[in-house]
Amino acid sequence: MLFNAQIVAVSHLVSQQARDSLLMIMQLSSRNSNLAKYIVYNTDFCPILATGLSGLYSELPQKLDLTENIDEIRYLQKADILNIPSLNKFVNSLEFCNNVIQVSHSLIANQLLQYVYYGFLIPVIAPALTQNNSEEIIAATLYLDIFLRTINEPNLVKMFLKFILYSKFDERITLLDTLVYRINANNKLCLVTLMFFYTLVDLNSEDVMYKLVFSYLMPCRHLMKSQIASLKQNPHEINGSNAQTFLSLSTDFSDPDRNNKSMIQSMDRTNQVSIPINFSTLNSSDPLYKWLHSMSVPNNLELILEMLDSMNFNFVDYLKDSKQGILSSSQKSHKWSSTYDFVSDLTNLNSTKILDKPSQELEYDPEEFLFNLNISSGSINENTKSTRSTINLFPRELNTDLDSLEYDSSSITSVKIKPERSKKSRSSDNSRRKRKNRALANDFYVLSFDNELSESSGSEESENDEKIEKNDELEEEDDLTATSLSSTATLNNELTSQISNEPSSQYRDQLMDYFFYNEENNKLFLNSSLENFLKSIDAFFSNSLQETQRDTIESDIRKNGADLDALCGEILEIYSQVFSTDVKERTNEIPHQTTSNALTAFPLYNESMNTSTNSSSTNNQTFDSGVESTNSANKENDLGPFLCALLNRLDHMLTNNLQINFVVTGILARLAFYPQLLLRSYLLNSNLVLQPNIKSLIQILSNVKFKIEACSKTYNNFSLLYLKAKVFLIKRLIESRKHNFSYVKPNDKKFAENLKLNNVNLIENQNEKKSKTKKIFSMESIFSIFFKPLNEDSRDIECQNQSYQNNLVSRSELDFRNSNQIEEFYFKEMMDDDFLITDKDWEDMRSRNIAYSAVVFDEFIKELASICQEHSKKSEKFDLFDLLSLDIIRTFYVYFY
Amino acid sequence: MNNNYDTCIIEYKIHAEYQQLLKHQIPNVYVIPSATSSFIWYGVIFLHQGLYEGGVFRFTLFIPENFDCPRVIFNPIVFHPLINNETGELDIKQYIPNWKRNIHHIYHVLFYIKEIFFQIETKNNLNKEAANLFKTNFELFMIRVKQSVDHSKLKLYDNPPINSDDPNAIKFSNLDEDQFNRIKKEMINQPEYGPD
Repeated sequence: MLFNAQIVAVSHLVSQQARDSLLMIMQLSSRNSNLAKYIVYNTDFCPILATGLSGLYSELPQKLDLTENIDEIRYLQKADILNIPSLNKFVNSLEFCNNVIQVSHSLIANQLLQYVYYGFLIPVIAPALTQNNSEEIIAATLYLDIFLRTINEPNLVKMFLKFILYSKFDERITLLDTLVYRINANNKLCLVTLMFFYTLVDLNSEDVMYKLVFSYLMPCRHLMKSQIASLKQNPHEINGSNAQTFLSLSTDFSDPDRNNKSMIQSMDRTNQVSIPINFSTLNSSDPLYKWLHSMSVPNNLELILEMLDSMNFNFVDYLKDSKQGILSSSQKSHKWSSTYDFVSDLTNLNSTKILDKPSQELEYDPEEFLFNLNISSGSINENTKSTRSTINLFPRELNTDLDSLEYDSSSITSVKIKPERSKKSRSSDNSRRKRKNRALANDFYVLSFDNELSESSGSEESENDEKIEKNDELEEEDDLTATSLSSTATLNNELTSQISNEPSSQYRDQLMDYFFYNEENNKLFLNSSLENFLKSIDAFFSNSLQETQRDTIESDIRKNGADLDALCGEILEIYSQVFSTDVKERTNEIPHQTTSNALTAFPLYNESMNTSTNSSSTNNQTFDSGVESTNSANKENDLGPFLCALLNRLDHMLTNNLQINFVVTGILARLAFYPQLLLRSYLLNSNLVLQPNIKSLIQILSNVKFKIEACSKTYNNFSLLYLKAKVFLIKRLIESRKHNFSYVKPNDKKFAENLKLNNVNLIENQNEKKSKTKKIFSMESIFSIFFKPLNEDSRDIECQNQSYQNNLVSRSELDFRNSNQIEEFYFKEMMDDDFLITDKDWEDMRSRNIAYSAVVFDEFIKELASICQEHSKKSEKFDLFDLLSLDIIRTFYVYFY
Repeated sequence: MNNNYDTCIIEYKIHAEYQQLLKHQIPNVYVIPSATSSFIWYGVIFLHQGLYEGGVFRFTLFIPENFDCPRVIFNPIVFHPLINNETGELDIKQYIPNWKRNIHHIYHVLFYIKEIFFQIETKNNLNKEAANLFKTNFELFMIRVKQSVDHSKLKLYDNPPINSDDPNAIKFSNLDEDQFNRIKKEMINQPEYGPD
């Protein structure tokens, strides 16, 4: 007993030693169930660990310095974590949790998991991910990403995934939806969200893939039905035509042969410089050499030249990576519940049961271990109930039961779950006490809030109010939709005011009227009732609000004006996207969309969640049916929001930031690794006939190619610009490598070899590394490589450039005197004419971006082609070429003889 | 650079062909690509019944770079109506007159290789002598066949007739009882890679 009391005391200490000894005790518990029981029932070990996480999380910086500039955003590396002490602390403690769950008795592990979920993820991470400040959301997303990459205990990962995939803010919108929606957001938020999705997709989790991709592809609404049979017959395209199709898309700039041909043709017109096939053989007197030299740092020119060469012939490296990726992906996904290959899905086609399957098997098995634990989608509450029987997790659960009983008797059945849910979202003692009061005092489920919360909800109210005004404008465009939109907004508003200001009974009655009215015919929310509502709100504001509160509201309105403008812009955009067909669907869709906006836009997550929960509970039935119908309508000929958002990003490659392009192409390539025919055929099969409104990947890529080529014609010498982009990317690579291989001198031969070995394939050597080292933070990908701050680099290099240019000038002058004067003069002339023009273009952000995009595009094409190739030769059983266990085969013959 | 891609694509086509072959699992016919060129596959067929019972025939499969109809050469030459008595080449045109790249695959050829030893076709033969004997003097035909079979057994432990330095060339060696049992045990312990 004493011993265990000490454990708890010790757990406050952060020293590694204490942790280690604790871990040993935990390990002991796995063999001694009495010890486990004691720790679970008689000590606060688990709650302290979990709440410790929450505490440490709150100490994390809300904004990360490295997110200030989009070029600086990158995966947080080990070094970054060490640089931020609070983050380091947190990650350490998360790792400790991870280890505890790994080694301890299942009793302890389960209790800790529950505490992590209900005491950390739901009340701490969820609000952090859905607050208003985009900088803070960016930091929170990066944090979540790092957490997901830190943990490796399957059960803990499962908890995180359950949180990400299934936790809901209200009846309809899951955290996942919100995150997917953010792919369309501004650059920085989009980038971190995409990075997060890369991590998610890379987990090989069936649930993730089902939620993101397969649930939308399985009905096969994206392709012509006639295709299914032929796909079934020939699951593997073996003639390499897909790869050839992809390769045919590569731009002329990447191909020295074609490039030179077009160069020669245009040679007469301008002083174009031909791009050599082999850079290493460049003569040092060649102007191109000098130009390259001017861009490079000392001793690196040769390396750059070599890498330029290798980039032309790196297809084999892509093949190797694809092979590795596909292999590991199929190994990890072959225990999935479905093969997602039409054959097994056909019987289930068009049955909505699959889509609305209540429970999902979550199979995350990094260690080839199958987990049969069911996760009920969206049934957080049920889950708690079931666990409660074994572990008395939250004492307040008892209240909930009381609540539900009361509600049952008071005939408002649909409300039952809500208070419980709101409880989950908040954990402060304060609110717990209040809830207790409420449970005793209120016959209606108006939540009582803490004082500071009610104040802040006042500001939300004002925002809602503002929203109504804006919505009035929208009414002119689309009466019906706008009406229902504002009606929900009004409802929310009314509810908020109810909640925050201890409403008088008169308002409550009015609200109830509206609820019931709404329940009866949600669709026909009339303008007149809206007017009534607005009036009543006006009255409400003037009567019951104190002067001070009004002031703050007014200032808030002014402050948030700009934000709201943007929000309304978004709403308008969604309108144009969503409303195409049915009036009924419209009316139901708007609340859905607005709430999703509200979730991302409004700061008070708790409040907005509760209010929307309340309002939705009243509209429960209509909403549910509405959501169903809209979902099915959306799913008609749809790839799902995730793929759509990704492909949309890809389509706008030329305007995307370089980093975003890297991550988007990275995610798509990663998705293509998945061996499941449904996904693979869509992404890679160029012969697949799709529904007319669905764009295939190849169509999008050809479109991008067309854009790149159209843009390139507006430049005098785009090939040079392209080359320069390449050189700059290589330089960044070298810089980051130098970081890693700092123990080797840069001009060392070994270093060069090392580099060549490691980097020839620019993209996706990460998988290999990861599988080898299993060290999550050693993830070295194209992202990390290129997320090296470009600005810093270029600034340095600009300085160096200056000095080098000076050098160059002086040297060429020297040459000028010594050697063939005319020729040298000609070169100099040309450099002035041509090279400087490209330099000027380079200064322009937009053209630089286009050049980068073109480089990324060409590499992406090669990557996709290589993935096609690897898929084409992949067999279900095993790859003889891989094993090359030829001894076995040879003996095999003898045996038969 | 295009050549670079083309080589890759062709290589992968061959790999894919090989995978397809594995899927179809033709009993008693074994092939392995050469270590030096994917376009050359070494093969051997074991015949446990029929007219050629007991025969172990080596053959080499040559795949043209344009993926046209492959050539199959038996070495040592087998006495058979469809196998050229001078070159050892099998007449594939008999079976697949118009080779179409997207329809016909290598495993079709291997099926055919097996088939010829069980159903003797006597029309349009490369080896007229064998065909005539088969039709007119079956006993003599059988003697010649027996000679072929014996010859193949005799030559079995020799070095492979072509590219004998190729590490993937099929070589046969005698096994004593101990070795046999050891290897058998090994294979049983690796059921995934062993025979079905």
